[in-house]
Amino acid sequence: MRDFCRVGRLGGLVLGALVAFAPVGCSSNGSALPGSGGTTGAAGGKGGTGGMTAGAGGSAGGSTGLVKGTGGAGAATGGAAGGAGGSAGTGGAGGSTSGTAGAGGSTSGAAGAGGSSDGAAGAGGSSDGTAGAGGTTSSLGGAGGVGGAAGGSGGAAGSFGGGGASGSPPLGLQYNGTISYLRVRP
Amino acid sequence: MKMTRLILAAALSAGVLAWGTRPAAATGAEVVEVSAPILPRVSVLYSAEGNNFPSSLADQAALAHQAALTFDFLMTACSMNHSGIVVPGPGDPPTTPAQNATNLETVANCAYTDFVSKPYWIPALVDQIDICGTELGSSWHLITEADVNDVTDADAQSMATALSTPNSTTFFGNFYFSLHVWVRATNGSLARGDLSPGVTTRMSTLPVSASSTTHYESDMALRCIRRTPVTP
Repeated sequence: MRDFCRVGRLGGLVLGALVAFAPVGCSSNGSALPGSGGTTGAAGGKGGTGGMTAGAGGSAGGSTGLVKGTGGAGAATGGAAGGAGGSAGTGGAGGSTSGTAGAGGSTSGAAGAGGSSDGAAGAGGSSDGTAGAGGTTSSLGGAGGVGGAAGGSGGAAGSFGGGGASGSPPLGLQYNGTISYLRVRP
Repeated sequence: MKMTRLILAAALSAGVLAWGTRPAAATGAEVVEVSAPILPRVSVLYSAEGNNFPSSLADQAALAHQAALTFDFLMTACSMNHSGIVVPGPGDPPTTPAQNATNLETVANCAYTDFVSKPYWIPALVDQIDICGTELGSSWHLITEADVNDVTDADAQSMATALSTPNSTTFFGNFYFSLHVWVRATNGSLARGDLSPGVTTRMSTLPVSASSTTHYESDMALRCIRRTPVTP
C-alpha cells in the first residue's frame, strides 16, 4: 500500500508538471509555446493556444518531416495565425475575431478554419490540400491545394472555391457578378 | 490518494483545454448567393413573342435557353473585345474587389452594346420555364417570396454596397445594377420584389399578367438565388 501511494505521489508530480508546462497562452497579449512534435510516423505535436487577447497563435505543430502536426490556435480576439501544420498536418484555427488560420501542411494538409468574424482561412496544402473554412463573417475561405489530381476543396464558409483552383472569393461582389452575403438563421 | 486524483483531474483538464481549441462554429449560418441578372438577348426574344410564342413547353424552354445570356457566358464572350475582364483560372489567386467591379461594369456594358440584351423577359417564359436551374444549375432557383421575406435591411445593404461599383451609374444601371427582381410568390404566381435597402414593402404584384407572351419592359432583373448552410 505504501508503495502504491508512493507511485501515486510520483504520478501526481509528473502530471502537475504537465499542468505547469501546458501550452496555454497568457490571458492578455500572450503567446503560446508550441507543443512538442511527435516522431516521424507518429502523430505530430500540437501548437499552443494563444492568449485571450491579441495573443499570437502557437507555433507550428511538428517539425519538418513530422507528420500530422497540428498548428496552434489563434487567440480569442485578434489572434494571429495558428502555426502551420507539419507535413500532412492541420493548420491551426484562427482567433474568434480577425483571426487568420494557419496553412495546411506541405502535402495533403488541411488548413485551419478562420476566425468567426473577418477571419481568413488558411490555405490548403500544396498537393491535395483541403482549404480551411472561412470565418462566419466577411471572411475569405482558404485557397485550395495547388497541385494534385483532386485538388483541395475551397473553404466552407464564405467560400466557393473549386477544388485546387482559386480558393474562395470574398463575400460581396464576386468576379462572376454574383453577390454573396452571410446570414445567421434565427 | 485524494490529492493524486485532484492533480490527475487538473492535468487532464489542462490537457483538454490546451488541445481542444476548435474552429469557430458557424451553426445556423448560411451563405446566400444572388446571381448576376440573366438577361435575354432581345433579338432572339422579340421574334418569338405574341403570335409566334411557342406553344409547347419544350419549345419555350429552348427559346429561353437561346435567349438567356449568363454572366459566365458574357465574361468569356466580352473579353474578346473588351479589356479588363478577369476570369481566374485554376491556381490563380482570388480576384480583387476592384477586378470584380471592373468585371461587372464591363460585362454590363458589353451585354448591351454587343448582345443587345435588356431585362425585358416575356412573363410567360419566366413563369413556365426554370431559367435559373437550366442556366446556372439545379442548386439555383428563381428568388421566392420566402427568400425575399428573409432579406434583412442589412442584407439589402450588403447587396447595394456590392453593386456600388465606381462607375455603376455610368453603365446601364437599371439592367445589371437593379435590385428589382422577378419573384415566385408563395401562392405560385409571379411577383415583383425589391431588394433595395430601406424598403418597407418588398413584395408587390406583377403589373402585367404572368401568362403574357409579350415582353415586359421594366427594370426587373431576373436574378437567381442559392442558399448554402455553413458547415462548421
